[in-house]
Amino acid sequence: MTTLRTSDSCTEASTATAGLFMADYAACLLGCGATCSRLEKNVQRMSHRWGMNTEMTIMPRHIHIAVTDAEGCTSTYISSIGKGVVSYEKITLLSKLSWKVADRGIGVADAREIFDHIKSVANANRWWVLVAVSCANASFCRLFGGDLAAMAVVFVATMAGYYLKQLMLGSGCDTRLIFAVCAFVSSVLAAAGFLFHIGSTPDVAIATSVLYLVPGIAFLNAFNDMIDGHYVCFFSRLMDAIVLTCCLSAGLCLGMAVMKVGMF
Amino acid sequence: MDTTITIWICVAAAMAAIIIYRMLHRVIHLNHGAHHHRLIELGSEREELWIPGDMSDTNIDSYDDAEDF
Repeated sequence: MTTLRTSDSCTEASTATAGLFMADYAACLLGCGATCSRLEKNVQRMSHRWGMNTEMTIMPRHIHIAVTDAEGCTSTYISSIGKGVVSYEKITLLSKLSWKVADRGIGVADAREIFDHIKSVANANRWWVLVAVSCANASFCRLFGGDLAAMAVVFVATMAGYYLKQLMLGSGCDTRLIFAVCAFVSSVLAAAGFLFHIGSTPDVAIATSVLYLVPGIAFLNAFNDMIDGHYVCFFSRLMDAIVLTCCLSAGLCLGMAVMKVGMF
Repeated sequence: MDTTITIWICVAAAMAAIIIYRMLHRVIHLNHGAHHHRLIELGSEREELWIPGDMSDTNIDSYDDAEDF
């Protein structure tokens, strides 16, 4: 994340530290997967407490923040948003930080300290996530009418696919390629029901084996931005989600084609 | 053998190979970090019958030092 600052004709703006902090905060919040409305609310909450007025332009990869203090001095900060991991835990902690600023009157230095601590919070344990995602996908299979055998097949297929996804993400592969490859692997493995006559609902197993790859958060955030009137971010997030869904579909179709099941 | 079963076995075997390789790599890496234990090795008779409190091999050598007598 980089931050640029431009100042108007006022002498050294008193908003410097607060402005830089809010630019970093906004970029981090958006990188963690927050919606534009959440971002605006949190930043406005803090800036009002510090006696400043902020105006934001939220772009898909950058945030412009113009901070005006009580004397009318304005500074503009531009932050670029890094590609981070979606983390609801960090979003919650960052929102709590904004409330601490608003309710308890925490200063910029203390807020920065808490912010740095939040940034260093580790992501969820990868093995726990692997098991949880596999269980969730097996439950989806049950919801769509799959029997126990289909659930077991989906559990294994999801575990293999998600493990592969973690490995490929760690090695820096392209996200679109990852989605296609993981969908292919999961759908091929889930075809075990058809090949070896396991259970009575092998079709449900194949259909639900790739649901863990559906970019649900991106779709939800996109529509939230649309309702809130942030059309640039809406289109950006929607396009990201559509591209990933297309890659997922390509992998699934290829898997079904080589296994000669379903529509092929 | 049917083509679909062959493809399925190839994909499953590839995934199993990746998982086993990563697990072995992790085990070996952890062992290198702590002690130099091999995954499978032949130990000496003394290592098998060693009881906590016994002298280690390095300490036993000191009895062979003629200058002590």
